[in-house]
Amino acid sequence: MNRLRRREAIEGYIGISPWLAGFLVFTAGPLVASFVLSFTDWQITVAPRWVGLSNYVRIFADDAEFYAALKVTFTYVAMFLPLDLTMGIGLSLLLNQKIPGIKVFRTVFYLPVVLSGVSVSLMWMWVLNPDWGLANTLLGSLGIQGPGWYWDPDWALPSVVLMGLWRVGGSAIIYLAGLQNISPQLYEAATIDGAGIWTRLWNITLPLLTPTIFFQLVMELIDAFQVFTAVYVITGGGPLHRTFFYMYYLYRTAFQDFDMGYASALAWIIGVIIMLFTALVFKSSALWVYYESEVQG
Amino acid sequence: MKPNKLSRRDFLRLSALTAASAALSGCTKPPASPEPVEPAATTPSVTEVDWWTVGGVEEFGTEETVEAMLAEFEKGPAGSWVDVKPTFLPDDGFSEKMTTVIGTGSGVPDVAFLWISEWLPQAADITEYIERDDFDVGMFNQRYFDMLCCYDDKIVGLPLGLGANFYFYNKTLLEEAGVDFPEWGYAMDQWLEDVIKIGDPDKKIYGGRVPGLWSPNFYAFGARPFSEDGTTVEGYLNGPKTVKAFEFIYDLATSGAVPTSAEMEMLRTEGTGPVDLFMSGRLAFAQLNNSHFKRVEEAGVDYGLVHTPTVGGEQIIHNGWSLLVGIPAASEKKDAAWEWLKWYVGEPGQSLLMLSPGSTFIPSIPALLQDHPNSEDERYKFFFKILNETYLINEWTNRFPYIGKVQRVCSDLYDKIYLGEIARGDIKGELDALVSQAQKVVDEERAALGL
Amino acid sequence: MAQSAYRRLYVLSSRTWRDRAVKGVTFALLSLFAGIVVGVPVGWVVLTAFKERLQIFAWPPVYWPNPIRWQNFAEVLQKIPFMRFAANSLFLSVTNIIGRLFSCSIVGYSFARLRFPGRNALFMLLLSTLMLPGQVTLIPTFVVFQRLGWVGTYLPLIVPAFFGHAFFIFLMRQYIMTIPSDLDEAARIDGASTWSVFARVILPLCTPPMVLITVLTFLGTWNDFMGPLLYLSEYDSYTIQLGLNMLRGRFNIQWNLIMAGSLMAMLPCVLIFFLTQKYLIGGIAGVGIKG
Repeated sequence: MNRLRRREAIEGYIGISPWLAGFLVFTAGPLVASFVLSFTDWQITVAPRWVGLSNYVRIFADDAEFYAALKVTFTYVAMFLPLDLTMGIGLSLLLNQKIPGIKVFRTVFYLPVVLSGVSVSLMWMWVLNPDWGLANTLLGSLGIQGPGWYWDPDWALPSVVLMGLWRVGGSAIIYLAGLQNISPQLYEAATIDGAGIWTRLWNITLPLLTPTIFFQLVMELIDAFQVFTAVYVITGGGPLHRTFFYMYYLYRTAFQDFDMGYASALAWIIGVIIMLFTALVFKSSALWVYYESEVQG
Repeated sequence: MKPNKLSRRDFLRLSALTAASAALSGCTKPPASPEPVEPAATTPSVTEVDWWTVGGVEEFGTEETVEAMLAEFEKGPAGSWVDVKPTFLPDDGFSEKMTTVIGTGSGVPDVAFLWISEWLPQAADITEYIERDDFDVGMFNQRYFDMLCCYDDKIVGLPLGLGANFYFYNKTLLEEAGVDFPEWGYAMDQWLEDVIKIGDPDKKIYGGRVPGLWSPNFYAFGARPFSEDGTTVEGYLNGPKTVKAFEFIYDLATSGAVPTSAEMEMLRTEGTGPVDLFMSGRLAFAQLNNSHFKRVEEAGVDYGLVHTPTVGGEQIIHNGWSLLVGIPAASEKKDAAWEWLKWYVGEPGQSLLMLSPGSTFIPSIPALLQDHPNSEDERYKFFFKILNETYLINEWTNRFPYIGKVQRVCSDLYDKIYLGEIARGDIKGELDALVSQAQKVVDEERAALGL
Repeated sequence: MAQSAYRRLYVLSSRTWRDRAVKGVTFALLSLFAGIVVGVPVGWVVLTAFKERLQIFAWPPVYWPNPIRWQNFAEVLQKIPFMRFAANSLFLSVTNIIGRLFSCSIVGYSFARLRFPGRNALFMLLLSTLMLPGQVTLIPTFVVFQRLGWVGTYLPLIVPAFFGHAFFIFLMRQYIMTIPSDLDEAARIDGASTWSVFARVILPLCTPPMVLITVLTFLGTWNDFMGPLLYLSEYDSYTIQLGLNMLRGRFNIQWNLIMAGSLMAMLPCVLIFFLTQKYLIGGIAGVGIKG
């Protein structure tokens, strides 16, 4: 390695040292520990007992709830991600217009991200109440009989998806930041050459937005696998296990059953699954993500 | 109502305890095993006692009450060398924090509630202190003492306060529907009839609500998830009494006189039970407890009380509780902690809690009850009648730490019934199908417990 | 020549007309969507904060509080030292923001621009810390802090921010990768060192993600319940979320007070976002190199 490269490498290491140091001190130990614990039976208040692979064996061979949880979680991810991406980008384009009051709109759409906790869950139960909730009242005024939402086995999962989509303002803001980076001169040049709205969208906006989309896709993927609060507060995994998300299962195993070793195994399994999916997205990124400056390897 | 094991929170909390690697070092060395304590011979210098309690709610004493208690304690003999430092935690979060510190073996409080049975292996044995100080544990309601405070041949704490579930009914709603006020011995079938009569779906007025899965109403039928000794599921989970209980739920759910599960979910969030619905005059029968007396009155509801309806030939059931307060084994100040514990849960502390203004506290020491400000009150007399004359179901259920898991096996069936997605006649078949799964849980759990 | 100029004029003017139509439709869509989907549910939370407790459960539903109970807010302020908690939360938020901005920008820049062996592997490691359910690291982390003697102080809630956070490092990296490296080269030709490039060229262009980090960190810290619960032991040092939870009794939950409290807690977050929007959205447009 020549001297210049070596200097750059050293600078690189210095640059990432805050994170690396933090990782070594605060994160690495716990990560390793949790992995080791997944091979034990640990009820928290009594010493852990080594059981080798039996947690993992039981999860794969003998645990119906594990598969139920996976099914629910995967279904959710498949439903949520495409909708979230398209709506997020669409909303960001709308919010990018220079019309009076756009700042107010942006704040309004961002509000869902700011609200958190019990208030939000309560609010959703009110909105989606089958008998007198806002949603069904509105649908009723259009002559449609609204469904049972959270309390109808077929609609419970879509209701959770809806809750997630309500927060799309958060994604939109991130896309907005990315949109700012696209030089308006590009648009002007294209328009003068006769490009219409859709052409501009497809050939300029989206390609240049791909780094941001990539970021959001990875983040939302990771997040989608970790849905928990809504389920915990509202549905408790039901009805009929239809909203039995993986995180809820994990939580119940750890918190209510105090079965920490088993829960650690569950955690690592989902962690690996998420990693695999993320790696897939990364691999595919070479095909569709366009960076204006990619500093190769 | 059994105190909520761990209240609900966002997933970060779940993070806290789940995979819980609790760092190798933290758990490879086994957490301090509670050995019999060696009470100190001489009075040491001033020791600070870390006491964790729940703040912001009247049930455990407001901040003023706590301050008054601490001031009184200071005046006493122990006050000269024990300095109690209270930490107020939200009710919703107390358990997480305790589990974390107990699981890691350090940072534990010296005195705290021990309301989760999994913590008990890490509770100090206070038998020696009791004997040394000649502390009369007979002063406590013995049923609760025996039920809660003894674990693994140790005495792990003392019981604070009393509570029990029973039904409140709205007299106005009953009168309007032409239903007679219930008397002692009120039957389940009569209750169903009354609920249907009072229910008025158009006005969203409900007679009662569908009891939760395996709540006292189930046990009132004599239904049990397994045999008395906790070993056999067959014949119990799918036995005739259990089937009857589930069929009753079906009748109730399909009657139209009860709130839908949607409505109940909304109101049941975070454990309020139907109190809000009852206080707004839309629910005729609500299963509440003694802490609700004052509030319901302030809401202006004219109410009466009755026990959980009974089923012919079975005992009258009530769900009762007391809060175990103890000393974690990892505490290094057990002598001082004991001084506070015996004062707080003993007569001085409980009587202060009872007498503090606006309190709904009922002490677990029968002798104190005659001084209760409301002892002449009809409602409190009723409460004590429930305590004394009906069966405390928790005495049985508390013996089996795995009962929750077994009961959980029925949750899908319960959902189906509540949603009306199953025919009444199919209930028995469904229960039969669940037996093997439940038995597996019982066998595994018992093996893990070494039974 | 004249013809193409004429054509330009024509295209430009019809663009204006089309633009107006687009803007009009956008406005309508946004209003509809915002109004119903976001405004009404949020409006319910706001209205509930002003209601008497029992009115929340009345049938037929009472939408507009009657009477309007301003006391709800006063009661919240009485029951818990709300302002004190808010100040604590603010302190934590500000320190976290400073820490994150500092660490995440440097680390993000390094991953984006500098080449060093193992860069990709380390980056994957960075990301993987996000993928494992956080549960895995929280209790052991507690033990780590216990060993350090930091439990009972604010340190566990502040120090980690100075060591970066995977999410924001990733964000910065992605953003910096969209900045043309021609700028870097131009500066280097003028003799700038790596850090000089970072501070003088890249950082000034990074306002949008930095503001995003600010806002999200503020939100995260402000709404954090678990961290303060586990690590704080003095009542006076509690944060807002911890304080709000004290309003929730075991058998008695005062919904109206909780809504009022949540609303008050929410205000700073909304305010921050509203104020920083300009920087978030109005980043530089057109760098002037690709002309």
